[in-house]
Amino acid sequence: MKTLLFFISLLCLQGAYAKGVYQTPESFIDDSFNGQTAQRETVWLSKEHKQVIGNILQHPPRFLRVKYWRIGTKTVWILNEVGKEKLITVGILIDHTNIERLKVLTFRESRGWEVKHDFFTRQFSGLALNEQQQLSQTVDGISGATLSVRALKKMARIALYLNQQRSQ
Amino acid sequence: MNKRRRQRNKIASLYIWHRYAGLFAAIFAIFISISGIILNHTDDLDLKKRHLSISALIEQYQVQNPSLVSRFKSQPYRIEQADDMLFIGNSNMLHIDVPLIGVAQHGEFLVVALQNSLLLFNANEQLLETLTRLDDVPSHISHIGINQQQQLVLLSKAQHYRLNNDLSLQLVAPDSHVNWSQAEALSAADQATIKHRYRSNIISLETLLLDIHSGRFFGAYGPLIFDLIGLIILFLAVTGCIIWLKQRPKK
Repeated sequence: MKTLLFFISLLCLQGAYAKGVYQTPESFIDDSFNGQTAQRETVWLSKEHKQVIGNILQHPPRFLRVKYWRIGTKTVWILNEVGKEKLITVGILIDHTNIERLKVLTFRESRGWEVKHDFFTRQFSGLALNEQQQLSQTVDGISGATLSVRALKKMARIALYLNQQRSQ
Repeated sequence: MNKRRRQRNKIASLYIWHRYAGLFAAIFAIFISISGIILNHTDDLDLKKRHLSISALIEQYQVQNPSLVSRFKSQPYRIEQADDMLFIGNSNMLHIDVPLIGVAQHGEFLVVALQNSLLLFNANEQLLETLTRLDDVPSHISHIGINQQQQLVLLSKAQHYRLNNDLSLQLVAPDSHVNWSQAEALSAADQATIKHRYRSNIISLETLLLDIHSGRFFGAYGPLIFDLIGLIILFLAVTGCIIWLKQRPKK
């Protein structure tokens, strides 16, 4: 009986423990560039950018510009998007045109936290944007975390799109 | 002859049970079917984003009042905080995790200062930009205001920061002529309105429908009653088949 109660309380607490800051944006940027100081640059959204990003997000973007950090061909993007009700903060490292690493930095929702795991975010490594501005390969979802998965895919597409625009 | 009559009586008795059980279950079957159909179209009907606002139903869920309530005004805008909810005007709601410090207007933007970030809204109260520490926003903002040159100023740890037109923040010399944004004194009626607004944004219509559909809405015994209805429907299926088989004309 005690064991059963322990597991039930563990299940209830799981959601609370899952919320939180896993890595600060500054630390993610630092890790991505192996401690080298990266140059901070900004993309101000044009009307066309807003339209494309609005199509990806399925709502108007809630930002006027996006800051990114760059050394050579590598860029780091810190983006936020709502999963179900609250913002998920993600760090995305892109090299040339492909994602090298995607990491959930802050998760504020009580459900869908499974997207923070490496087994899920690893799927984004190597992905690029195709001509239809979709990810070049399918990312398998996680049942019970549909909205969080969707938010991460949107942020990956936006980072790749802005990176593409930046280098044009 | 006797055996046949006994069998006929048995079927008649089964038929009566079947009829009354059917009548009883029909009400619930209609109820469960309708709620099930609606739940199948949760996304189309936007049930996740719409919330329960009827006080009696909110009471049923024992939703607590918020512990922190505040309101700031910058004409014609009204910004309110109730715990982790930020209300902008009459329609928008955002989740926040730090206290609301104040509001001020900067050019075309309405700037809402939270303790560690700035939210920029347009005239339609739509969020356009969020400035955080990655944009050099200082932590522990304690005040936001407008100086005599109509520039937006922040106060953090006794230091003044000015928001420039390119949305960058610049450390400036302390200015004693800043009109700081002040929280409004709230009457009991105002507080009640904000609290009701907070409580009306907790339970989504999807949750309500799921709870009605499963019986959880009707208290601890609700699911048990719905289990019983399930068994009655099972009973109807079985007795329906028996009656149909027995009443089939013999060849």
